[in-house]
Amino acid sequence: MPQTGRKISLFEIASTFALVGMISFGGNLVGYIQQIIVRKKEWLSEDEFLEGVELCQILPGPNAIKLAVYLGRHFRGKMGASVAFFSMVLPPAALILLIGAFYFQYSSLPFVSAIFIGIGGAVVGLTLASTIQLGYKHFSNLIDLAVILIVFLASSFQVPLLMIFALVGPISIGLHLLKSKTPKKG
Amino acid sequence: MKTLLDLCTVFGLLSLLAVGGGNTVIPQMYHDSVVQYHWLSEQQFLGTYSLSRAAPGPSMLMVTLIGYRAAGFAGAAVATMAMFLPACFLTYFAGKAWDRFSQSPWRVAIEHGLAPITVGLMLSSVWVVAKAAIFGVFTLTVAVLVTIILLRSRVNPILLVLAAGLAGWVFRAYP
Repeated sequence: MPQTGRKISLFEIASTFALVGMISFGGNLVGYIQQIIVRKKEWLSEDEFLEGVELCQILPGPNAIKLAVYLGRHFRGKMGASVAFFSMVLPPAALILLIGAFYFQYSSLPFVSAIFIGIGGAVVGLTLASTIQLGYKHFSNLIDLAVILIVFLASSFQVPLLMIFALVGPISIGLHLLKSKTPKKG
Repeated sequence: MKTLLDLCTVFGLLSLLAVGGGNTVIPQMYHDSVVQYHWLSEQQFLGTYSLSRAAPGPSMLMVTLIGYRAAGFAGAAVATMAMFLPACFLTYFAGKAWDRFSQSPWRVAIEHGLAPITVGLMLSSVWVVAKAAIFGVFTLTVAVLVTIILLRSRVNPILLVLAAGLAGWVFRAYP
């Protein structure tokens, strides 16, 4: 039973988002947030969570950050949003600076270079897999597929992002709006 | 310092352009950081990209590393805040309005309309990273294997990244 009525303390927000930030090895921070805040702690329902994710998808900026702010605001307004943000960002930022400093120092060493050749290949696989998982449901829709291809080509040929959004955005949104207003056949 | 201002402008702008997430602006980030401002080399860009994905926390912490490389700790702080804060403010205020539109067909159309654009941009990001990371049989094999394994099973991605790193050391360090 979701505890949507309960007032969640700032300390709980801080500790939970800090935890999520620090255990999310390998990415998919949003997934970890879902796992801990929705499934384990039940601070809000799956539907409420998905609404937040949807909003974050259409706004610009890093997704996990937006989600933390959205949820923090949902739980405890301004303070909640700030606490969630800093708790989730600061510890991992400190860690990555530490790792990064070592990396930049030693990246030219042959064995470090070799390790990162392997890691580079893996990371391509990682992001390709997650993009496919995110996008495969659009592949069957011809309009969506066309949009994906056009945007892919445009971005790869350095067409400015603003132009892509300004030109393709309204068309894609408009087509979907039309589709929703047309009565379904059969 | 001029670099701090540049970092602020570059990442502030990227923050506002990254509809669908930070991954959508990787090509632009690459162009700005490597080609235009020479804050890091192509290999270092790939390295920070990989580290930020493997390490815990938001993957956009890669901008922290780019900022660090460009201008030390001050650069790291400026780049991070520039990348995160615009999005935070937008989300904070939009969150309030969002609830009011939950049944509107416009909202659904916007979500559905933007989704494939996001996918297209993410594919373009993968392409940019692939161009830097894949240059031979070994790297191609690793990428393909990891993709297939992740699509077909629930193996923790970080294990695959570590295994690939190990494989890199074994197969590439001592030719």
